[in-house]
Amino acid sequence: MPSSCRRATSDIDLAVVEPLSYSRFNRFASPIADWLQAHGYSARFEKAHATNRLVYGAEGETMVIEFPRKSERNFAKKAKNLEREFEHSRKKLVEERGATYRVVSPEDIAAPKLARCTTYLELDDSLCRYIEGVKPSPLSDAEVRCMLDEIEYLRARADLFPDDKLLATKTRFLSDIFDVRLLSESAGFNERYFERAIRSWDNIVKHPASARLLLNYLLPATRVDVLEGNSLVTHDTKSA
Amino acid sequence: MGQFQYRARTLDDRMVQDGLCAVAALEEFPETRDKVMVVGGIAT
Repeated sequence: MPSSCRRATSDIDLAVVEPLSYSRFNRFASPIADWLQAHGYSARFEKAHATNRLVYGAEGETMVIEFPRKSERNFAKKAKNLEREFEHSRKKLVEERGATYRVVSPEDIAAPKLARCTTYLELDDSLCRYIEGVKPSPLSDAEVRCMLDEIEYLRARADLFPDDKLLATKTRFLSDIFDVRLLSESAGFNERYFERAIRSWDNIVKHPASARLLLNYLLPATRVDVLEGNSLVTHDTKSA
Repeated sequence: MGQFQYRARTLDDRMVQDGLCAVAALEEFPETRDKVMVVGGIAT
């Protein structure tokens, strides 16, 4: 995705294909901390609400690398999906640096965002106004810029009023629909795999009407559906 | 966060790239190799 279309974020989120308690995380992430410290950063481990964090900084600025914290039991519930995501992940090069990192597929980036938006829409249907304004044809640079500006505006206000849950929800909702839309236009989705990915999220399958509403607005040309039997996508026995 | 300031950044930011290079360091060790994937906003 071109830099001009990228939404800014303050952390690097990771998925890990093994359960990570806080003590295990300290050992697991130590090569990252070592690398950062060898390159002039401070680095420290933190236990956050539902995640383990590696906070690094230099010259008064800070960035966070966020790891999921999962017990063996919680990990077991997600293991199958994680295996599928890993199988479809790809390696990317850090531009001009030579290092490679693994990133989940565009379909697996979009699916949880769609799931979260489905939940938000179930809780507050006034959020519809944000998707009704999204036009079906590819977004122009000016329209992308306009959406990014609105997200930045909402984000700045959300920082000013951290107790305003509605504002936080709107900010997250708009950020997620922006990401899904841009990913579909810039990277493109394999429809068979996207369908498989979205059906792995319980809150999408449990709320098909809201999920379809989002799909219709965000991906108007798509043939995927939330539930089996309604899809126009061809699936063979060895699904994508 | 004491003296530090969080700021929203994009994938072409030096500090983000250093973070990703650091994550890539996990691939050098057998116990952490092929265990981690970048997800979420920065991956877009």
